[in-house]
Amino acid sequence: MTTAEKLPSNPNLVLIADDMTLNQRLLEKMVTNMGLVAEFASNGFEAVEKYLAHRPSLILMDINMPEMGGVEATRQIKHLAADDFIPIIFVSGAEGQDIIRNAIDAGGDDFIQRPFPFELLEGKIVALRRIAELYQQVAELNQIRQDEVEVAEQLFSGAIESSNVGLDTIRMHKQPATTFSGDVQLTAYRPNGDLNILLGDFTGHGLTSTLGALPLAETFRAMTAKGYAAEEVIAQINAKLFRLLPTGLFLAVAVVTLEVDGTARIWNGGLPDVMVFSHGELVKRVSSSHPPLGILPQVNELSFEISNIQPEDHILMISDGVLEAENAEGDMFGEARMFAAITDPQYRNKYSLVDSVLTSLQHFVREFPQRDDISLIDIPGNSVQSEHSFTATSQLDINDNDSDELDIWDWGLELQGRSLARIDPVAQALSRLQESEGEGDHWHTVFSILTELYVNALDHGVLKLESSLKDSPEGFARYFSEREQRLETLSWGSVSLHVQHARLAAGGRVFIRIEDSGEGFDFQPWLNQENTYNIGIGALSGRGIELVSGLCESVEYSNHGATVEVVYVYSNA
Amino acid sequence: MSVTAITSDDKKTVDIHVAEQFDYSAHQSFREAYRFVDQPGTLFRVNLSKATYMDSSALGMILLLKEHADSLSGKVVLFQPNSAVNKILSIAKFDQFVSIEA
Repeated sequence: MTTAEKLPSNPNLVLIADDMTLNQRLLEKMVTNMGLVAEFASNGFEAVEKYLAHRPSLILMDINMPEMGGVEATRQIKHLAADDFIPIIFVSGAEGQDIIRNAIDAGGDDFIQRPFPFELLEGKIVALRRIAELYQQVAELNQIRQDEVEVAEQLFSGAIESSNVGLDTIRMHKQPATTFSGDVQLTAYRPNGDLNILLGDFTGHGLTSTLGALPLAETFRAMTAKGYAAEEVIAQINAKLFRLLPTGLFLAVAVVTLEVDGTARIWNGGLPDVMVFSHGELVKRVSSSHPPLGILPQVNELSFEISNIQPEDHILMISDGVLEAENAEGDMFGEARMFAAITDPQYRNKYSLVDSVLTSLQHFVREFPQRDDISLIDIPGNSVQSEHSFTATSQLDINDNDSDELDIWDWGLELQGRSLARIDPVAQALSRLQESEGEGDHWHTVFSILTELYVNALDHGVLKLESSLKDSPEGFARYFSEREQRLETLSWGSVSLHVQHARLAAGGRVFIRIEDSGEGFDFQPWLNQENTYNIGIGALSGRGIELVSGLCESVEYSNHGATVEVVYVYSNA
Repeated sequence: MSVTAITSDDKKTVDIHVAEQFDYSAHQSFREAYRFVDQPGTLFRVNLSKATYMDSSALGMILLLKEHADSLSGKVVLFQPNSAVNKILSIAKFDQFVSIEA
């Protein structure tokens, strides 16, 4: 027998270690009278051996014995017992405070000096056995708890974070303070290829702080997949958390939407600044502009910061555990050290952005225990590049619908005035299509078509924004702020959306008509590919119509450009 | 105790003083400071002048206090946060629904 944990403890066995036979007999008599069984050792070596062989539930230990004394034997047994509790009572004729102190220091649990009345030792034995039993119960409960936490942890990471996308470019790091982290990192694609990235930090850490993580992840994924914009996803998450979480538990969160055209829309509610770095230089920071989610019954006006991200840029999201990480001297890591790590060329050449910060952080805190969860997400500007391309236009012939079976439905919606600022008809249309016709990759394409056409109708038809504003990066930002402002004060205008779906033998045909209340525009040049460059369409505008033309079977403008009708045909793979 | 509470003679105001580290460790004593106050219209003044650090669970405690104050039609005012604590309050935008006074 080499290890102590092989045998379970023998509940009625008491080991008596004493070199004097007379003492052994006296103690045996007492132990037997208590209804217990005695085993004997006559020196320290034997005591250790007998402990391993018989696993008694209590040991009565003499101090002075030949070969090895009781103090050393106790030290060894306590070491072997590790996490098990084996009560040891020293029974000795020896006197002096040093002896008692040594015995207790070695791991002894009690001390009794000869001569003594039997009742006194009996009392100590009963009391210590009771404590040992409680200890055993606590150890068992703790084990059960530990097992449950581990199972829950696996479930948690499996259900919540394993579905994240875009991880070939996006770098995520999470370092929980306990098994469970209050930090949640989520990514998901919208049907048009835009990427939504969320970093959340629930109050506190450990099991309770993760209660909200499941509804959070579900809401985020489901709504992003249906094509809802970040504003609506955030509002819905807030409503859900407000309803579910007890007061005092809430979620600090930041959301970044990286759009296919390189636009980043960033919102921060209670997290440290989200930062944009270009060639190691900080070029933008987005500070918290809203209380964390789950506190207010509904979200206030959500202000997004919009910037144009280059493929080589990086967006960095962090939780406060990064900046507040402490070292042994009580100093915090702080922003200055983080910047130093990111901008230091020595680090930059050697490590990725996340690793630069982590290496510096590690160096700073050394062995000092971590108090809060640490989370970092690095989103390179090239995360939504062409890799997520649109599904190729189907080869199905529109006219091969020779089947007699008619299977067509129509759906429409007209928005007037304020409702244009409030309701997203694209998401509704898409959800109709998905509900009625099932899941499929072709809806990604339909989403793109609907979005482009609807945004054109709203921006240019109703809000009368000039597309050419977007020609320069500055104009690009102005375009969006102007758009926000006009939407806010909008009280006129209308856009109607009509969708018709027809089932074909091996797929379907989607007809879309969008009509706005505007004056229309000169659409001819935009449809004519050859003229594109002649009329000087910049890289930042005019690509919408081009994209739609590429995806659809047909695109027709009428009513001076205020009405557009397109047909898209898909085949079931 | 990391939190002390002093009730004014007219019982209309409760001054709650928090210690240097305003975090989860103060949870119990912070709650004790107000939970038995049931005078309608009570003003709860949370004095943060000693606090050098405050974490998100402290923000949660303030929300719980606010809920209690609201139920009494009372009010919560946060007093004298230092710059570090004020930063945390402003990141969380608590100024949007709790009064903060320098």
